[in-house]
Amino acid sequence: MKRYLKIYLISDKAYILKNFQARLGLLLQLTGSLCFLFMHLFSYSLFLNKFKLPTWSTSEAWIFLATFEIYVYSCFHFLNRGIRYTVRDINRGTLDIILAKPVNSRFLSFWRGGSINNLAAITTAIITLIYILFRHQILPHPINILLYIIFLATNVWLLHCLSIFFVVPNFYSGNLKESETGVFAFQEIYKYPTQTYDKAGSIMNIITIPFSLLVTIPASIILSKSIPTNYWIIYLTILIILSVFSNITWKKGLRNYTSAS
Amino acid sequence: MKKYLVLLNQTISQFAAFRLKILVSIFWSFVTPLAILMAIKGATPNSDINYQSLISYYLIISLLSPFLRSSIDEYMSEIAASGEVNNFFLKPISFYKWHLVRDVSERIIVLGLLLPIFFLFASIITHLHSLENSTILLFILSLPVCFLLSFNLSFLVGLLSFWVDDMWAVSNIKVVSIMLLGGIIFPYSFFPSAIKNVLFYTPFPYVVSLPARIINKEVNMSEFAIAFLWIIVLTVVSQKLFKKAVRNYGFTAN
Repeated sequence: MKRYLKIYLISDKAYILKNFQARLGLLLQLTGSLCFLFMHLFSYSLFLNKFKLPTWSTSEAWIFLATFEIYVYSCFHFLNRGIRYTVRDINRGTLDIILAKPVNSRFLSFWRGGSINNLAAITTAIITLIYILFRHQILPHPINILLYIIFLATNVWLLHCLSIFFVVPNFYSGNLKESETGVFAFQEIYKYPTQTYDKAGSIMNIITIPFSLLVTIPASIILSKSIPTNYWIIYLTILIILSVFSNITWKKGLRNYTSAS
Repeated sequence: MKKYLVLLNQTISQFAAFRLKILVSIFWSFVTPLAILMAIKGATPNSDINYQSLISYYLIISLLSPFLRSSIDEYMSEIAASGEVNNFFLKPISFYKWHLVRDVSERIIVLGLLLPIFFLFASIITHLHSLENSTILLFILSLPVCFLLSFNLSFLVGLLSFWVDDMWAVSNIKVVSIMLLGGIIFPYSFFPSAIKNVLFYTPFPYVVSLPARIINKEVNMSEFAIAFLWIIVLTVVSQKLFKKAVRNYGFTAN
């Protein structure tokens, strides 16, 4: 574990230092990243002007959004580069370099460090969360804060597992560039609490409920809101299924890999 | 003209080979509007909301978004970064027209894939059955207007790749502006009137949502005039910027 953490921190630090070297690029990246953060804030305020979320008060809804921002940017920070580079390596046939190393191929492929723009967005989202909590005089218990962080980390892991299902088809079909963004294409779904989709009662809930739980669970924990048992069952089932099947899928995909270009 | 027709034919065959890729991007374009629709359905409205018109609005937006949104800036940044741009300076072919033809050919393939889905939706949404001929005509006329605007905006953004190495941030800003200000995330009825009034003088309302607003009868003819004006402005600016970009361009192989 220590070894893997060391490898990850080395690559993370390298990319962040590289970001600092190219200052114009960094400035543009910060603007690009914060632009998305602003878009979510603005669109959410438009939504809350017109609607009320079931079982979530307006202040709770803003805490939900701050959690969403922290989660989405954490996923971008930890996963985005890994997904993009793995797809590129599979299609170019350069995954050999990773496979030849005496470290877990899945770890080396997908965890390739983050970037300063996403870290800046995460920091902004954390500041927003603290501001909303103080403004509405909500003081979470330390255990709730710890659980909040644990569940956010678990959900980043879940999205990583899901990303494998998008990346692996590249081993078979080749050049599916759209698979890079696939796992992030669903982010609008987890911007709204599970209860909202539950009330909408549509066949789409097969997709919307599991995705929305990724933010609903940590946001409910920090607010000490009760989470219905059926949500826990769905969440744990998905956690187990994705963790097990992503590993099997990755290994199957690797067996199909050829570096011939 | 003939060389551009040959190019159109070639690029159509090229894009047709990547049908799955285009189908995937069409599928992605449905995710955000459908998620918002589900959230709207489950939330309690503070005022009266016409859910039927929202459904047709979001479905049309989902269908038109992959057809109208040009991503030529991404391609331009790729060829600028790889140095492929050098080839254009030697060829007796316009850089602007070459990219326009390339984008048109991609739209033709997207249209071919979208038409069956469009007819399926048109048969489901009863709201569309009672449309007048003039509305249908305006809807059809608005498609090339939106596409030209979208293309010119993307082309202008793409030209920045002659100055900037990593273009994703600039492309991100373009995507966010079109999604948020272009009425893809929420229709203009959700916006405060002060913001809405300013937005109608910008190019964003005419990039994707114009045809959907025509169907919902929320467009007046002055908006077409503004859209045309923006096409002219963006074309002129991009031509001028292209000349500057070429002077600035430098590529060293790595």
